[in-house]
Amino acid sequence: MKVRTRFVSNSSSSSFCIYGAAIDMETLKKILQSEEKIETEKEKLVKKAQEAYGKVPPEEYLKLKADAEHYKDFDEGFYEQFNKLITKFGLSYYDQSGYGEYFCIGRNFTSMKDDETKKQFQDSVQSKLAEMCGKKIECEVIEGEYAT
Amino acid sequence: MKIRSGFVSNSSSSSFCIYGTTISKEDVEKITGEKYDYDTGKLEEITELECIVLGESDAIYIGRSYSSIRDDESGKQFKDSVENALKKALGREVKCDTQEEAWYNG
Repeated sequence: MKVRTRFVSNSSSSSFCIYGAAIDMETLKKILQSEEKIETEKEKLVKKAQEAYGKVPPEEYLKLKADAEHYKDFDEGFYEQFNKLITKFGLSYYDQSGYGEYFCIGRNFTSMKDDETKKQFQDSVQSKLAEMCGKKIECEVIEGEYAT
Repeated sequence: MKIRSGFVSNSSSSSFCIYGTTISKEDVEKITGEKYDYDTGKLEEITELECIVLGESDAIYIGRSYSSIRDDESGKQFKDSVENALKKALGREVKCDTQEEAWYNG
């Protein structure tokens, strides 16, 4: 039996229970950097600026060059790219630390299908995480809470 | 293995996430045949479900945690097991859903 002893009314938090793994920000950055799509966007802008050199007025070229150079600093674009990656693999994540230190990534148990056994559910997570990370990832049941 | 990693901001916190419902103290007394005194030990023993009592509330959360699903148990079997246990204990159909709460310990 669990008894809640205190409640802070001006705080808000929710709980989750997933099967997956806790992956730190640095590892995720490496995974995201290896995603071709991220590089392609920036490369496209660089190419556009290079092609425009000598063909457009200098101020227009400088603007294109600046657009390419300042195209989404990696950290600024992190969550956007991270969300795309997670969605692509059909997974969920929780930023439990609240500071983006590490993320609990996997599938929420509430997403388990009626005809899916726990073993099938766990296998699907392991396979998706391995594909996403390019190596086998040890998965576990992770229960926790996060600020909302 | 189950990791219990519960920290929100700088405060320690707790949470639960179960499939089940909330029942009243009258329901508990009906099931156990005893006056309810916030101890749910007997209720858990009879229903074979997990119970969580939130401080000053009279509502008792009852059900099974998702982490208790067996390897060969399907999502439907898991949900049915909770609904059947509650129906058996309360003598009526019980609508179940995911129950989750999180709170700061101080």
